Amino acid sequence: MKYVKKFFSALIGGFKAILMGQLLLKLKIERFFIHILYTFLMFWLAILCSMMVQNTLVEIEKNKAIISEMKIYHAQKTLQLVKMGRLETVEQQLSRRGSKVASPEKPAVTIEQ
Amino acid sequence: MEEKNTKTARKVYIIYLLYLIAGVVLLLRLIQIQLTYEPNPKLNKYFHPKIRKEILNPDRGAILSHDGRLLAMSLPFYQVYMDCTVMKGSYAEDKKNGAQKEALWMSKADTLSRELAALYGDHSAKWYYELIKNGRENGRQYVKIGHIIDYDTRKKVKSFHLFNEPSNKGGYIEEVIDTRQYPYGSLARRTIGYVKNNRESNNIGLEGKFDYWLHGTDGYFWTKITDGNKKIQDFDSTSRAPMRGYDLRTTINIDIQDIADKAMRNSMNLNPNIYGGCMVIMEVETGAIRAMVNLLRDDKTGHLGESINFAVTKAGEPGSVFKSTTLMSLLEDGFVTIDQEIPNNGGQVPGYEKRFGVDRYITNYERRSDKKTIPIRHALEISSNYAFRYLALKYYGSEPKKMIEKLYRYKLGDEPMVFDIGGLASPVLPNPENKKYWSDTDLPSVAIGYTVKETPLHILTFYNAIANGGRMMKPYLVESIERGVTVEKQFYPTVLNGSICSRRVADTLRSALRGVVANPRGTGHNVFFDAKLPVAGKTGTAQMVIEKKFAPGGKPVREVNGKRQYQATFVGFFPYDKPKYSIISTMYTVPVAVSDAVYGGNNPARAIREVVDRLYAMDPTFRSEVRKTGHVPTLEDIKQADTLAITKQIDENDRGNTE
Repeated sequence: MKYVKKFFSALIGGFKAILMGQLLLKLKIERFFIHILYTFLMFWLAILCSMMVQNTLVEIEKNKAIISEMKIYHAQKTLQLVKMGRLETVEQQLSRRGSKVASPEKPAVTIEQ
Repeated sequence: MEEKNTKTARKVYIIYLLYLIAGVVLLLRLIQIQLTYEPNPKLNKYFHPKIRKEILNPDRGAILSHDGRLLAMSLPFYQVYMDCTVMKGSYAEDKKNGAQKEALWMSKADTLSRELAALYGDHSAKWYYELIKNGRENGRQYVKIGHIIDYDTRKKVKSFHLFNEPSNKGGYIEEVIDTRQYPYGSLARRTIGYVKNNRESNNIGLEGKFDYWLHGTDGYFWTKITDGNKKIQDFDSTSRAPMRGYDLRTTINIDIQDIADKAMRNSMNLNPNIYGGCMVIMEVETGAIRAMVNLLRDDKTGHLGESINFAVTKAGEPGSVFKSTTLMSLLEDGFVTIDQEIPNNGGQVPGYEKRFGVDRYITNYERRSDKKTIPIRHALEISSNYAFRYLALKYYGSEPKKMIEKLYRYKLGDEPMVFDIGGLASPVLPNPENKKYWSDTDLPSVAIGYTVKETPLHILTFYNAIANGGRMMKPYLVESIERGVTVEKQFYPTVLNGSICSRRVADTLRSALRGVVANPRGTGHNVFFDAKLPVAGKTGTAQMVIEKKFAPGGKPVREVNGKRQYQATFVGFFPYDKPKYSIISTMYTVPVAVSDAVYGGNNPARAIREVVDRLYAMDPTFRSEVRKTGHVPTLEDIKQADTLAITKQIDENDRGNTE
């Protein structure tokens, strides 16, 4: 009964202190002021880091797109080169340019190693 | 002073109270939102973070030639669209400069139309301008521009007027479309197969048969929108990277394929009555297929294209190339020797005079040689039907099952053979035990390649075994399944039958087949007598049962209005003394008069001759070696890059050597 009375008295006191705007002073929060500032600093840093991570991820997405484009470019050039390497295409190109180089008519002779 | 302070304190207190009440309200609202609030379903999406699952399509694996050159690869192409309505609304709202800006946009659209017309070449500039103008008037936001384009062309398109501006101002929209590219065009297309992209599959060629390996595995990840309205990957959610499909390394040598393709086209174009044909080149020792050409003539344009795999799917009566099977059986059973003489009988098979008539090859031979007997070797060389009918009836007439069983041993029977592409037709052989369908002419017909059906691939496999000393190799097209530098699965040469005949019989047959080409009377002599490599082989010309599309009412007949349809084949191997490749060329005609018939020793042989001559010059196997006896100039104190100095010194050395 004693504790209940004490609890209600603290509750009423706390409520009155809230109404009077004196709760923090009553709790002597000024002793922890530096910790509160530190907590705020931590929150600020967390938000800042989160934004930096997001910016990095945006940058990653941009780079992914660039890499993908470069891969496509590489594949396109590979395709063009392979097309140009076809035996018949090479022969046609040589003939069109009037080159004396043509497909061999007899096998190559190799020098013994 | 004190009264003033009290008033100020009261004001501050009231403000404090207001804040306190607002705080309490906020707290209660927070509790309510957390516990009981249910937003309007229509607005629900705005209360949740925008995350979306993105599916990543895998790259389809490439198909490679024997030496690693790309035969098929995946490549994104682009389809351009245009949002014709961009900036229209804001220009309309701008009462001061809106009309002027709209006019400027339309003038840029006019320039764009001219640029598009010049690039695509499918429509006029006016057409494109009308398209954009109408689209803008009618509020169309997704107007298709031209056809799909590659990366380089897309770069050009993006540099055009309007399209070089941000898409919310110029209206440029693109769709990336995954496409399958075949750098060698139609070369081996039927063998490689054909798919448009990685989403669809069919049963054509290697693309179809190995789709499971080539396709790869889808990937996914979740995206979210940042505070700056940018899309990024949500790393708090699960994700899976797409797995590229495996690459397929084939046995195809694309240079040999190119040579074979050209040779077939050259030969088939000599006679427009040839509507289709195929050529297969196989490595004797392994059974690896180095080239497979399949050409079908377009009825309207006459163009030859790869659209039916004759080599694999078309089982037909092979004709005289089948005589080697009869001869192999006779030699293997010890009934005859290759130089044994058989009676001519005036070219008529006793008891079958009316059914089979007179063999003109025999009567001509009789006239030439003035002899009443013919050596079996020469009968093969001149491809006498009489001789092989006679031999089959004489030695297997009482027991035809024995000869048919031999054909099963040669893998020419109807048991299915596993092959790397789908659709391989099973051979058809008559069964002597099925009295309902077996007749007394079946055995002599089988002996010369009629009443049986074989694909060119089956015939080639048999001749490859002769070249390989009786060891029959399984034909195969895929060497390995790879990813990067890792070989996931390796396919090795497989022996179908370690010995379809003895080494002695195989050697005898090889020499007999050489005679077909080397003997001036041989059916293959005219084409191959001066070939750059010694060839051995056999010609075969069969009168086909007229195909449905050519026969009136689709009835199976052998003659329509005096016209017959032919299947002409040459099959053999080279070089004769040390066979490296076996080769078959089969061509099919439309119904033609007998005088226009195509023979195995003609167009198919010509195609093979061209291949032989070109392979002789290009294949490293046929290179010769000289001993290192000449003077080798010393190149001293010259920088590696100084090629002029090197050339000069070589010239000086050469001069010194000649002097």
